Amino acid sequence: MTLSAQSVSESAAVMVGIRFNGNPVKVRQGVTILEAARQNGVRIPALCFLQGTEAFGGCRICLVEIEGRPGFHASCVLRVEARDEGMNVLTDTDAVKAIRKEMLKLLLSEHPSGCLLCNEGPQCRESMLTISKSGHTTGCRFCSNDGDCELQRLVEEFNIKQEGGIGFSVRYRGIAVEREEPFYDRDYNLCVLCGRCVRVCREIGADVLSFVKRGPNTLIGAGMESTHLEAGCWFCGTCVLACPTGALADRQGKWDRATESRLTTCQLCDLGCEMQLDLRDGEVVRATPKVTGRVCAKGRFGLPGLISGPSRLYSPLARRKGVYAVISWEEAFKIAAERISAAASPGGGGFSLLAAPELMAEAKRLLSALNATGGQATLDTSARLAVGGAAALASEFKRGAEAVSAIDRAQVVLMVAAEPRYSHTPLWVGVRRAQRRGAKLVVIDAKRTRLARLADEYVETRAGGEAEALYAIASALDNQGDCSDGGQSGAVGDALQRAAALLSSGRLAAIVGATPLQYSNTAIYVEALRNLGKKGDLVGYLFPATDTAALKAYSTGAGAPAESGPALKITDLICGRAKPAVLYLAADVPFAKRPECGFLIAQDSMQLPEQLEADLVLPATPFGDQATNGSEQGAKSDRAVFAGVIEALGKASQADKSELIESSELAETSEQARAIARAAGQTEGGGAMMLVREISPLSFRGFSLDRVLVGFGNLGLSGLRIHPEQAARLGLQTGDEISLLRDGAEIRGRVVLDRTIPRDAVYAVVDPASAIPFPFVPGPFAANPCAVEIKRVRPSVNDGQDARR
Amino acid sequence: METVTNNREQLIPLLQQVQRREGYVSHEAATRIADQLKIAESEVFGVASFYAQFKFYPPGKNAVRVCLGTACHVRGGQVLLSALERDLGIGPGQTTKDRQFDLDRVACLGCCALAPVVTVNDEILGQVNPNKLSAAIRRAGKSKAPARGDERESDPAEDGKE
Repeated sequence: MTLSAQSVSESAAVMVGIRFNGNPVKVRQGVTILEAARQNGVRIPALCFLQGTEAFGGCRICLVEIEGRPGFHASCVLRVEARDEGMNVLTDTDAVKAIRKEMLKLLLSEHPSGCLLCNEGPQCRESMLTISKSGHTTGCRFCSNDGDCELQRLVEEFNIKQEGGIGFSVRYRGIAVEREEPFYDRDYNLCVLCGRCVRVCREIGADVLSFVKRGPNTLIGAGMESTHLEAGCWFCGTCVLACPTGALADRQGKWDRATESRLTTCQLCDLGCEMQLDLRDGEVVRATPKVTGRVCAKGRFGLPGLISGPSRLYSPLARRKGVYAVISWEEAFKIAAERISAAASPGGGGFSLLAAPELMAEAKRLLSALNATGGQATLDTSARLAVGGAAALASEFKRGAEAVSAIDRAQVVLMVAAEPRYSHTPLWVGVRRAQRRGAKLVVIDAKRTRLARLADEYVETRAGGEAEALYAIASALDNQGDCSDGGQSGAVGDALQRAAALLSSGRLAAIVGATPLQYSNTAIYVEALRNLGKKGDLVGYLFPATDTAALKAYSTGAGAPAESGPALKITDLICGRAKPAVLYLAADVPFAKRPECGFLIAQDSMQLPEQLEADLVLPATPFGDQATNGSEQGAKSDRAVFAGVIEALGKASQADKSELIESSELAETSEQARAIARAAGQTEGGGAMMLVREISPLSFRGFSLDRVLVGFGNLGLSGLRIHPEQAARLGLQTGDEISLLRDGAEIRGRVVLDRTIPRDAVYAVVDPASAIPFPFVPGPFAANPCAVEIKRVRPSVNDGQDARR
Repeated sequence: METVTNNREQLIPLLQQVQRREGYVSHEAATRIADQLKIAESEVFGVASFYAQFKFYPPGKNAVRVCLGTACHVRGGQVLLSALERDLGIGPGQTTKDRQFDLDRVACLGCCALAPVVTVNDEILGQVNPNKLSAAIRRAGKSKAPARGDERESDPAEDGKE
């Protein structure tokens, strides 16, 4: 599993003199012939070779001859050794060209080749440029890669069309196109079995792909007749980019040929990956990473919809008698300012502001403006629910490039409840790179994720036991002590011991998930992180968007809520105890339906839930919008919206000094919330199954992306996730509506089968748009995890339809 | 399975062990093997699906194998296979709905003198014709022959319900 380029650079650079077609060159020992040729400007065609992945030697397109040796050699796997001094590599003989062409023809004998060989090609393309109401339906459009296909380029290079065509009878495999999964389609009729997708998936992805079956029936698949989703795919989409043909193709924008492209920095999490946005008529049709693998499902498949999707908001809206009317920005600012200053004045009923973490500075400015004019306001963010006590550790977390280099430096990597599924996937590329150079991987997780199998030590805990396990290990590291007693973690003592030994064996990078911050015992998790922070680098992981920035803003500088007073508690809003006269949601919407308030202002880039019934909607631009023409259509940046409101406030209100009240210390209020959780207890009033709630990996600006973006809904994150065996035991199957009962209260949801879930647990993602209550919000479900009883309400609609054979 | 170390060379021996013990490689078994060897489930399936000896569904009670080796082919093995396909309503490599019969074709059973040959479980039917074959199939269907997969405890028909 070594990457050739890296293994070579590490060994001493012994130079070997070889010749290409008689021309002498000096190349490093250990480099492959193909790499050596490319370094020296010698053209050798190749197909299954993919820079950065292990060579496969499957396609035989890169064959060369070597003077004095019999036969042909695949140049992508043949390495230059010291004894090869003077070797003459022949890349251009008639024999080698003929055999390469024969190889390509054999590949083409199982590949639909209309687009490669049809004589009508150029004219066909011209005549398709007609004005039509529908998409381009003329022409042989069975492959979306037409015109951008490596196979096509090889056919042209080898002159196959001019020199008599394929010569073999072409077999169409007639495999049904797989369209049932999110984000991309798979047409294996077009597959040439180069195995690039298998190798990128194995080396930098979730390791779900493999060759299956054999001979003429060979295919690529996730195995056991699983879909990719069932097999645990992270949908980073790297396989689609690796595919040289149109076998794998993004569903969205599949047939849109981009006319231009621009670079942007993805801000869906704090890694800040560079993304290339492909545009057509100013709309983003595709987003791809600038560096292979530095991408996750959110960035790869979410950006187009987020920037140019149908759910984008472009004009300010006011709700009058239940109907939304488009209004001007001027009017919108005026309404906002009037309402806010009236509510904020003494006796006005109160004004509350919820802002996304990254907007804290702007929010603070608004509060200062109010303060200047004598208003009273409270400020909070739903990020409090996500990060809780870890805010105090904010400055310890590495971000972006720092996070990546922390992993690159590490000799031991620890991942706690941090599967890079759908989010933060690029960190995993770093971990795999570290593993290849010999670093050890320790995984602590209740879920048996794909990481468990690839770890040097996997500490499996009970559902919700990660915090205790980490605490036991971290304390053992602290005092060289024994940690065979994992307390309540449910982990095996030996595994804890071995993990602790590994962790103390070298420089540590700890990638820590946000889910245990949601647990009732979060305090010990934070304590353990504090200890770990002294031993090595902490990398925040799977926190909501730009969270560590927000954490830093909280603990230091502009956004830090300093003054104490009757704080707005987000939990009070969620459970309806706080009823402000005006509530302003600035890109932070932790509600599925309207919270109790007199007037609701919502500032966001995407359509809000209908039941939110916002009275005033202020459209903001998401990031990346500057790269497109979205801002010309009427949305303003968050900063501009705030500036407009502040300016209008200056006009609207009279000076009437009173005290500004802000949110109290973050850690303090979350501690109160946790006290409630502890009081609620863990097992009272429940059943035998543990309900564990996690933060959505898709959360962005206070909502989960699966609410507004195509495809993300199919990931099953809004369901109640159960292990298939446990589901079978309970007589449940996918799609069944079940109810989780606890103390007379219930949560309803649909069953999703997930093999990573512990057998005695139900996992649910906390998302305001779903019916899953946040932990720490007072009520029967305050504790997390908490014991529940499962009851089936209604069978799935396709009951019994998917029984096999 | 516990006796085997985490060495990926052990993949095929483990698969064979599971196939022998359970009669097929279930998803659960593949997951256990993948966990043990620290490889992807898809790789376990990929390797297993390469070889015809591994099955992924619970097998039927009775194995019917039609020889299509050279001698049997010449003496009408294909006719026998067609007759069986019609009788049982399944193609080669499949199992009947009631999980009574598996139908497979084999290259040679090593008793070419008896061609054409069909085996029903361990019984070798030599120089067989479609009528004799139908009778043998009926007989096997009625008999209380032990389930295939020698070390198996439960009835495969029970296991088969998913």
